[in-house]
Amino acid sequence: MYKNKYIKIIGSPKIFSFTVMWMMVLVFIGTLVQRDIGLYAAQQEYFSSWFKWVFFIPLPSGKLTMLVMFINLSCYFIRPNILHKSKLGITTTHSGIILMLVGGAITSFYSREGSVVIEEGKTANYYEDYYAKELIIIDSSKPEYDFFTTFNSKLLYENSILNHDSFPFQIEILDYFINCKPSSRIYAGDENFKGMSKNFFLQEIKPEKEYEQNISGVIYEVTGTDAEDGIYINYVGQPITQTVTVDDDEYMVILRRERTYLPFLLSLVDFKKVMHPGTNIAKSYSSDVNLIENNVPRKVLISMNEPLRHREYTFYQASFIEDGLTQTSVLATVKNYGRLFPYISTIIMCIGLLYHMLFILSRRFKISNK
Amino acid sequence: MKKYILPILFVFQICLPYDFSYKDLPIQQSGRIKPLDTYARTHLLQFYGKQEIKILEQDIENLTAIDWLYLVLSDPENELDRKFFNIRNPEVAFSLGLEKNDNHKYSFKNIIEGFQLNQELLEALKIKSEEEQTLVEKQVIEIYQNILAYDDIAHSAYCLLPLIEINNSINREFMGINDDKMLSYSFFMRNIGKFKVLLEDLLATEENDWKESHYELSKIAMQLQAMTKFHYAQSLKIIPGVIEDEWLSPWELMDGRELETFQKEILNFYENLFYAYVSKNNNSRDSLSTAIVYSIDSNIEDININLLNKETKYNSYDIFLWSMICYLVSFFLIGISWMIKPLLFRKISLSSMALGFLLHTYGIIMRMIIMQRPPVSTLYESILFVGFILVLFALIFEFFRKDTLGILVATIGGVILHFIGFKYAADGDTLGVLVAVLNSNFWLSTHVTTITTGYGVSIVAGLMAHIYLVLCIIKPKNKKMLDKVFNNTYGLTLMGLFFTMFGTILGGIWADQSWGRFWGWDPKENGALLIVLWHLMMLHLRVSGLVGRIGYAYGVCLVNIIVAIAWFGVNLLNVGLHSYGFTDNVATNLFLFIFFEIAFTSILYFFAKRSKSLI
Repeated sequence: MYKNKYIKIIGSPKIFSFTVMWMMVLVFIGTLVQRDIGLYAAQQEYFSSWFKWVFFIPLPSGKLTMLVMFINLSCYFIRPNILHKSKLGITTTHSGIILMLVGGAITSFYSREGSVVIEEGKTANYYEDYYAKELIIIDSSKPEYDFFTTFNSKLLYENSILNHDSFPFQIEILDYFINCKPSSRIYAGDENFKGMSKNFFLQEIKPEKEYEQNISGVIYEVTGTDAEDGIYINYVGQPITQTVTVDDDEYMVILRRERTYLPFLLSLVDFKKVMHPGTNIAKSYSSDVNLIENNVPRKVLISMNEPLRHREYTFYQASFIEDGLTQTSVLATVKNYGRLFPYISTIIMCIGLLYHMLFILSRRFKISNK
Repeated sequence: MKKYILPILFVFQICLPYDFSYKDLPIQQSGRIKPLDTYARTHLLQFYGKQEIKILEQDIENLTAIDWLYLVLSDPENELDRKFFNIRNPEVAFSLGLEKNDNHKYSFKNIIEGFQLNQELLEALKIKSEEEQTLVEKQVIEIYQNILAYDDIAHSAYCLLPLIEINNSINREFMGINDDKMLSYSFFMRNIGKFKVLLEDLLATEENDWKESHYELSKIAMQLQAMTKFHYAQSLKIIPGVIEDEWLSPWELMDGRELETFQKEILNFYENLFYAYVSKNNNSRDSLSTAIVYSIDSNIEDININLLNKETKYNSYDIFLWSMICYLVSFFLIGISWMIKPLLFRKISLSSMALGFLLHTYGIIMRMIIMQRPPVSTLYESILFVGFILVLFALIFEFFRKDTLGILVATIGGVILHFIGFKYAADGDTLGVLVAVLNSNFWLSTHVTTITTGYGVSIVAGLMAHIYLVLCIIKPKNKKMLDKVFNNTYGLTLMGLFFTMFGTILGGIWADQSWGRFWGWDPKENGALLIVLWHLMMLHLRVSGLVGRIGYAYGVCLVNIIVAIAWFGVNLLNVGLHSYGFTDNVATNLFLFIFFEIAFTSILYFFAKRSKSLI
């Protein structure tokens, strides 16, 4: 059947059966553990990684399993006679699945997710990542402009040294916590503690099940400023900005969710929500948004199940924050190049399977007519 | 205007039955307008555990939910003694200091006393977080909430009850009363303008100069004052409001606000309705109900009054119970047909099956009409719909094959699913409103319908595989028949794969449309994926020749377990977007099912293998 016996082995349905079996084990365990470690962590461990380490044994994780599946399925197309009318349905279905796996790969490597949070009457031009954080240093000494230096959270590990020409000191990361809690010091701190760390320290705590709720924090030492040298702390949502002053120039240090800037502006005109009468169950909510691009404003309504698609971005009405009279809309933002793959592959698979079923049925009828 | 409505209605009453009865009166609860009948049933279920109160004395009929509600509303003080709160757990009863009784029923007064004597328990429970509570503690809290809810309901129509007498001719004339019925709190509030004049006169007159009319007035004023203490009972939202579709309870209208004309009209109707109820005048009770419904219909938009009595009918028919009975009958008949007169009994069985199926369909359609939404939106509806699909496919099957196997699959599956459905219906009103993200969306409805169809077909395939294994054991030599059943199982697996796969992908598309990601490894998504993967695995194992026919059938049998896990199991995890239904004892039932299914099919597999090797 195959010209090459290796391809025959690699493309064997036996391998596929076992891959599927392994995938089922992964899916099953990966679902169960969500109860304890939450969705994001389970996804990282079981599905979005190449290996799952059980003690010292590397077991193939979701990504690798799907890659094996992809290679195995691809070998199907080297088979002879796949375009014969009895095989046509199966071939179409398999190509649909391949397309879907390709789409999944593109999405997992290139898609970006985050959320735009806008208060009513305000404007936003960036979205914040759900998970990744960044440490920025702002040099506001120039009257005409501020100078931003950004280090993303991959650089925030123990003993990592951050420096750049844009600021005249050096930062050494002493510790970085995915989730932490600022607690006040009982004893007066060491003289070495500067800023907020004089009175507070960061206590590392277990990551939350909902990864977005984690408050990340960083402890670092600043050197090269003489007077301001010392140990500082920063965490996401810190109420007082940390500053380092060198020669009368003030530098702000902020740890925040990683921002990505949009090539246009979004301003929230009005946020509306409708409840089921007499209850606290939301019936629908929507945001009246002005999309401003090149100074041309355009009115858009983003509501539940009716997102705004603009350029390669999609904005969905995800939730809202109500604080007294001010309403804040939270728009989930996705930048995804693989978005159309599932749609196309679904149609292909649908055609393939229908053809195959009809083909089998018609053959049955032919047999029974004989 | 209302002067004319009543006589006109009176004329109609002789020749026509009324459009609406006292059961159909609209009330707003949990975000939708429903008939009082549903309201009564939901609450009786909550307090008593059933939708009808069983009366042990002979010669007296059982008390239906709606009659119970009217009794409670019209005579709250006496009803506080009715022993109908269900406390099944003796530990709970003991912790409240309640005496043991055989049917586990206690009255409001018993329980209130129990709580008064054990106040520390309640105080302590209020502080404890929900995760730390034990089962008994949870139940105590539930009972406490039920007691509060009951108190609220019982006095919610108190202001409409005819409790106040007014005899003095001066007062009567001034208030414009010309019949001799008793009056309600609401009457005085509706006519507050006139009544104010009388009261001002009363205040202006020295007590020594009081005439008989003044004494009566002061008595009435005291009575009204005393009744005001029940104004907290505001759960009966039966009167349309003026802002944002929000309906109001009678007591809310009594707080001195300016009433709209139609609100006064409806209040008046309700006063008369309760008067008619108390004086047992059933005809005018129903004519007034009709008048209320029409008055509401003509005064507010967005209400479809025809749905009210449809829902009452739906409540009273017990459609799915009858459908299950038909399936059961059909099941027994099929058993008989294997012994005697196969053709005749197959026909009767098939007609019973078809009747059950028609009822099943009718019930689902009725629910769709009442709620104006696609067939599957909640877990309960998914059970109904999977049952429907299962029976449908099995019947189509029977149509082509005519060998009673289709009926067998349909009856077994139909009965079991109806049975699970009843368990879920016991949680309360099954016609609930939906949260924003589940509210009307094309992709959502297609996804849910397809995936539940997939569940249904997969279960049919699973049951067919069971039959194949059984046939392998009892008729190992009938090769032709075995071939046929096997091919059918194989075809059904393909179809199951088709529906579950597209259901799952459509779910992804819905997710992409609604919140921007196609796939997020959410438990419900993973559950659906498991079914798809299982089907894929079985098909490829078969294609590659790794398993034989019996092994294949064994694997397809087990798909039932995967379906059960995907369908009910993931809700137990209580994480993710899809966990829309959670019940404690589901876990136990699920584990029992998995255990027995594995044991049963493994035994079948073992014997099927053995009988094959013996040939």
